[in-house]
Amino acid sequence: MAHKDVRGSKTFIEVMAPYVVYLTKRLISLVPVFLIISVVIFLLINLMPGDPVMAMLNPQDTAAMTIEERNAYVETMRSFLGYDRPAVERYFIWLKDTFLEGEFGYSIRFNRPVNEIIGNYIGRSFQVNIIAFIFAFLIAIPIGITSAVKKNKLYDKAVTVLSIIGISLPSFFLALLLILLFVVVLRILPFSGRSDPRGVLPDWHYLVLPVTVVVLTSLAGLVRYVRASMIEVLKSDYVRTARAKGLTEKVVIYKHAFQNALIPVITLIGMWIPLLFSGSIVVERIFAYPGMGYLFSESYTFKDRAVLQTGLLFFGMLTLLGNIFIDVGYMIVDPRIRQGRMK
Amino acid sequence: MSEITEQNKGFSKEDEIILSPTQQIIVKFKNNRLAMFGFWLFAIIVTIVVVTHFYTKFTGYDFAATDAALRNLPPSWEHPFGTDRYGRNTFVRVLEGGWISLQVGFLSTILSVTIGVSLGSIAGYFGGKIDSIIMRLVEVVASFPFLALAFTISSIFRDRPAQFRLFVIIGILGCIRWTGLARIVRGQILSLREKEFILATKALGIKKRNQITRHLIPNVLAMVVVSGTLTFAAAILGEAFLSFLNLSVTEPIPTWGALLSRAAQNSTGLRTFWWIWVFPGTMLFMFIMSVNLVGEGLREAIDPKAEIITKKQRKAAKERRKAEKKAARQVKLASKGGV
Repeated sequence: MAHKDVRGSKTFIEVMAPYVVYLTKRLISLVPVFLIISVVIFLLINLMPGDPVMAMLNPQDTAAMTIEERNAYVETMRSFLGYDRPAVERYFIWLKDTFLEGEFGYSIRFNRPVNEIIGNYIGRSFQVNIIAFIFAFLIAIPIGITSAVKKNKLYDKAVTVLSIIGISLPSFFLALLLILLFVVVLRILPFSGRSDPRGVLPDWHYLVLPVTVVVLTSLAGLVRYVRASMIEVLKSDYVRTARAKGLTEKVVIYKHAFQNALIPVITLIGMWIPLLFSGSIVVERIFAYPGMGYLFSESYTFKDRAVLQTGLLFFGMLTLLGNIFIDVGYMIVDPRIRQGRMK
Repeated sequence: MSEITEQNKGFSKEDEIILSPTQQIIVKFKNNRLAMFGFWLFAIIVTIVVVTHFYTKFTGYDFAATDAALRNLPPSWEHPFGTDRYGRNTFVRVLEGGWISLQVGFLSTILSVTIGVSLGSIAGYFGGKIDSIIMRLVEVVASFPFLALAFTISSIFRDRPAQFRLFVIIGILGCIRWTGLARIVRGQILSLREKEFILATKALGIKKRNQITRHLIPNVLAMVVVSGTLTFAAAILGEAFLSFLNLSVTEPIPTWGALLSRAAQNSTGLRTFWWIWVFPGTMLFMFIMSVNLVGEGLREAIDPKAEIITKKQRKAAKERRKAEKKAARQVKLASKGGV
């Protein structure tokens, strides 16, 4: 911890204590929010039409059975999956299983517990998004900063126009254009899927197009954000002071302004946290890439409630954690906010 | 334009008229070339879409009618955007798809602006417990993944008629996208309510409701309009996403997203029958871009610090640059000649 040197006499625990207190407070305040989210998710999933047990029956298994046998089988399955209980009870069982026992339910599509299947899907989504995340930030930050420094010059205007085009381009249209170019015309990349749909190891060839689409569609928003934040910093008093001291423009921009302009990037990282693990439904559908988004949209067709519930809850939880990350991150890097919160 | 000094700003007598804030916004907007381009693009697309919608409605055009003789024809004068695999005219279908987008965009924006402004202003004005309850609500709504939630709700209403589903989509988009606006309005009102003019309204005994609606909200209106424009663009994009995944209004009523999703199914069709997806995709892109350009222009226009650069000044600056270049060249030539 860098603060330890500055404050000399303070021990590690003394430095960390306010963060821990703040974090605990914040986590406690999230509990009711999280409960409301879980109720809404449960209600929505259970309002979906169709009987999950009937949807799960395999016609080949039940073909030889008589009607009584089939009904008995359905009833056994129903009580095995817990659908014979009232909804309120099911909700609490679901909460208990998820949080106390770490059991996310039973997938009727895969005929296996959700725990066993969901890891691979998350892993595959994570690959696409972490690569896209790194590229997007590496490209967006320099462009945003330089564009803010050269505000109203030709370069900045070009960046502004391009970023407006970027935020207006729907990802699926962009994906189709890229497929047309690289798959159909140039024939250098595969159309969709993965060479090994069940594995989790990176499959570079198949990752190129999904990653490109995610990078290009998120780039414009990031550039605009970084640019706006840098412009805000360049207007501030300490930058004027730095200039008044007679520092060169280079030192003013890259030493004084740049670091502070990066503070709002914490917000962006926090907002990306849920996206890293969840994947884009549209992109994964177009490229038939078996990640979380794909699993999600498939689960709707199969009315696989356990997977849907887990997925939604997972995303909600990550969003809330992302918000906490933003708050704590600001507290660590920005002394102004730290002072305000510790009071 | 840093070159323009106080003396040669090009003011004439007419320029000395004092402009009201609204007039200033209009002048700034009109002098922003990108924003005006977006505005005209928006106006043209909306006009064409609305005219086509009512034309097809009154002539009783049947969107479900198929013609086996006209299957998969490339663009021609008779069918400017070609025909699809059922022999239907893509041109008419693309424009009718715009009608759905327009409806979704306008109605869901009105809905989300209403919710966002009212909750945001209540939270900002009253503060305390009410504020923290509303902000918790914002947090809850904002932590749902938009598409997944829309997916779930839309699949609950899967068997309902198309018109009903359209309103479901509008409801979903409107009820999810208000959180950002509520945060902005709350933040603004939190600082505005400490100002003297609100103290004055309190001293005058004006009702709380009127303090909010007559005195606070007009002060944040400009920001609401900008944010509303961006919400509009996001709503259209959201509807396109949903219809791309076949969760919005379904056949035979066309939507831009659904028209594109036909093409995504195989790679050969992508090239051979390009007109089926390129036109709706381009329309969608241009429409969203026009809205974003208008929104960006409005945001610059409401910024009181942004200076107005009029056409006259721009022309003058251009000519001055030209003259400077010419002079520089002459100096160069002269120095060369001298050597």
